[in-house]
Amino acid sequence: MTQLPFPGDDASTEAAEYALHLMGPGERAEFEARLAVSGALRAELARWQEAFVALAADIVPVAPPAALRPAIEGRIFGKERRRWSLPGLVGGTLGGGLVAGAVLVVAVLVLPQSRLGMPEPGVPERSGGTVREAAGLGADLASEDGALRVAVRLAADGEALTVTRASGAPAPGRALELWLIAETEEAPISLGVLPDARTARLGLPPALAAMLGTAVLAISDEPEGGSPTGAPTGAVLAAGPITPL
Amino acid sequence: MTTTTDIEFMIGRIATGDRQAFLSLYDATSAKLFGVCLRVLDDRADAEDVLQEVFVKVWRNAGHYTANGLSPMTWLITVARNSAIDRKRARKAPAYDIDTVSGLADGAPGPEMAAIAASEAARIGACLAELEAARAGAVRGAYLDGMSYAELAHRHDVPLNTMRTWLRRSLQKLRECLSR
Repeated sequence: MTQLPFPGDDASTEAAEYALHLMGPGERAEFEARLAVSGALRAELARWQEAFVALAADIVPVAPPAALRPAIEGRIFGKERRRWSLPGLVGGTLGGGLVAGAVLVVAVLVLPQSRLGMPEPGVPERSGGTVREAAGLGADLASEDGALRVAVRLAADGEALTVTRASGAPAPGRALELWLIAETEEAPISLGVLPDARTARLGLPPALAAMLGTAVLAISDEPEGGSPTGAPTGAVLAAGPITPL
Repeated sequence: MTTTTDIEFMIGRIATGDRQAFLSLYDATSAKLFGVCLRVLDDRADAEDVLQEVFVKVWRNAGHYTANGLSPMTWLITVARNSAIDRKRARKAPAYDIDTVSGLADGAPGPEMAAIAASEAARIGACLAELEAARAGAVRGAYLDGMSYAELAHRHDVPLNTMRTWLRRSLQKLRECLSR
């Protein structure tokens, strides 16, 4: 076996060694440099990989632990949550809305009261068991085309949000879900799915009420019954900052 | 069952950032790829860790998939196998008792894949059968268990250079056989 049967056999053997992962790091890097410039070598490598992979038919599939799937999701999609950051939403969805058609809705409902960047009152203070009217908080959300308009107000007792859908509806078979995006939280927190009724009261735990002062509300398009994952899965349809009213 | 075409379609969707397609691909292929990692690493915790890396790579590199000329399962198995071998080589003490997970029981790929795999496996199986048993065993050990030349030399109790020569000659013969 001193004489190789035909030219290219050396390269082919190297491709096989590479496919088997038998090369050391130096050899590997050198081979990869050749691969990058030689289509013939890449084709030879692919031939070997396809031939060898048949041996893997013998490998028994083993279901990985159930926790691995969400772990991988978190690793890959964790970054996507940043899409929901306050500046992103206010500068993106809302800003876009201003430039586009919904100028009146947004400008009239949000801008005059907007005190973004100023200290916010936070949770309405209780005095003698009633919430002071002056500390009222709310947000007006409108989609860029103005088709969906929703007004959200903190209820007088401070324990719920009153949601009034002035216009718009979920797509057939879909739902509108309201989210609280607070500066202190990594991910949006679901406040609930908007019911069919135009006006609804969504309960608000005290811990969430405390975050309202510096938060943004957003409505996303979700499967019927709401996001199956606990995090928004569909498009952000409308968003707006919570402001004192 | 999932076909090769389905998997190819999922990879195409993943390249466009389709999260649902990614999860579908995970559901369709993670058991096989976990099996591949386990076979090479023989350690559950390591295999779980590497499987995560594999799917992160798949998410990132799905766009380059068509350029490599491989069938979709070959690409996925290659990514899994190479990642597992890298992990294995990075471990401090090389493990020599790798044969503990060498069960060659029948897997459960989809029917189309199974058919392709069966004919290909028969082909490479027939070509390996033309080699001396020990040399065919070395090729299988390199592929399935991700053994290095040093590990193969140890297992077959021959000097390292002898193992290199053996294996390279075996690969040449294998290529001749596969080209017939």
